[in-house]
Amino acid sequence: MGNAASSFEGVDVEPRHDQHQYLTFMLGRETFALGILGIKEILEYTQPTDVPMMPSSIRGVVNLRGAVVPVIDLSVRFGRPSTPVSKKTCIVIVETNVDGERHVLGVVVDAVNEVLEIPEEDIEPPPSFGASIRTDFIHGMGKVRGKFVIILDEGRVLSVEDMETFVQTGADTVQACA
Amino acid sequence: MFTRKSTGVSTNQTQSDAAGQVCIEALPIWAKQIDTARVQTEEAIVALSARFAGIAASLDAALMAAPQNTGLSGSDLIATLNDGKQQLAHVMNELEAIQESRTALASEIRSLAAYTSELAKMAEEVGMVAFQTNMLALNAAIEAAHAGEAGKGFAVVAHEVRQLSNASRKTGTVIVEKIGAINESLAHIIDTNEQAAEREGVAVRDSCARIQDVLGRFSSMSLEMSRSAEDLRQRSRDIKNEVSESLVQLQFQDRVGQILDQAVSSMRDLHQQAGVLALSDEPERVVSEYLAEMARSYTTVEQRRNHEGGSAEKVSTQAIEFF
Repeated sequence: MGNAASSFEGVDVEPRHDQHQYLTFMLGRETFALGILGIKEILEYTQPTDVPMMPSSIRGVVNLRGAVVPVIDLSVRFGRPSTPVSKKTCIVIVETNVDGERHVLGVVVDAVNEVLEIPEEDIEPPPSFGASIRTDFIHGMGKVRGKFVIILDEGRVLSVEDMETFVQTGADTVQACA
Repeated sequence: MFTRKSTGVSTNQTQSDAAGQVCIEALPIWAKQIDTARVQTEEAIVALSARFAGIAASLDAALMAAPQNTGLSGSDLIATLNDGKQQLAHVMNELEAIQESRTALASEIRSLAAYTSELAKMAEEVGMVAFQTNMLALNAAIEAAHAGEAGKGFAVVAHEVRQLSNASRKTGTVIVEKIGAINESLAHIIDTNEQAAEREGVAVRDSCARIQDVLGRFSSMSLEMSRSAEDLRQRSRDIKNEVSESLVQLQFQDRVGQILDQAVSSMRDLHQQAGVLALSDEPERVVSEYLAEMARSYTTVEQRRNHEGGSAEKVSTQAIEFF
């Protein structure tokens, strides 16, 4: 394991252990983080091919070296309107392991920031209320340079079943959380 | 003086002798009166003629001197005006040259602006490269993380690459900022240039209009002066001609003088010869001889006419005007 006890000075310190490394990214004006273990790569944004009869949080599919990868619009997943595409928009390819099934998905983010280490002691449990997204999406709140980033629980966030049911309940759930 | 015949003289003879004697006595007096009149007239006329001649001479002198007195003849004025117009045209050319150089400056600056927009595009490309390098570095970091311990070195490399891409991005941003500042400055220069050109244009046109106005007024004024000078000269010439004519007319005095002079001489002569004539035996013959002698001394047409009993009209065919 790594020295979790070592002090974290921010990006200038080289990242050491991938268990405590996270990729931070922007969605609108908020900073989120995903554990790096699940992240395969980051791509520049390309227009996904639209697939009908899909939940609205799924933008479509992209061709990743021959493989078909569904792409999720995270803003829509969080019940917000989709943000417009800019030159900083990226697709983060994530691999999840849910119920023994390997899923490879793409996640549209507004900008990627950095890979950094957040030691255990800097992670707070998620708040029971007041978060702008569903609390079960939040793995924890990481302290980074005096600010908090929302560390996402990718298992929940990127669960396909959950996405399908979310479509029906949709806006009501968001209203209840807010 | 003379002796009176005492024998066989009738009353008529005496009366006529008395009349004759009175005439004889009066003759010298008459002669003197007439002579006085003649002299006075002559003197006055001579003086008058002299005055007229003087006037004519003065006018002549004035006419000669006129061109010098006005200071400028017609051709001098035109030359001065043309010179003024030339100077004005010269000034206008100079100012036009300045305007042209301003326009050239403005177009040079605009071409500079074209360069800076190219630079801006290149800076943007630098930014894109920095972005993509960043992405690469992140992917590298992800791979390094997945590789665990074995990827630690690679993670360091990835980290450094990210640092580099950040530095490039910052440099690119600074470049864009600088280009923005340059463009602002250029725009300001163009603006200032155009404003100055505008002001200059206005000032130039204004000055030009003023100068042309002054030249125009000068031209018309000098034309006026020239005309009135010419007018004066013409009048002077006319006056001089009139005066000369008058001088000619005054020559009547010569004729009058001759007539009077002759009359006076005749009277004096008669007065002297009176005694001799009285003693003559053939008074009629003596009278006609004397008259014939008198006629021979005539010099003018009027005298002869008068002698022959014509009217005492004036001979001249044109009217004599006196000042």
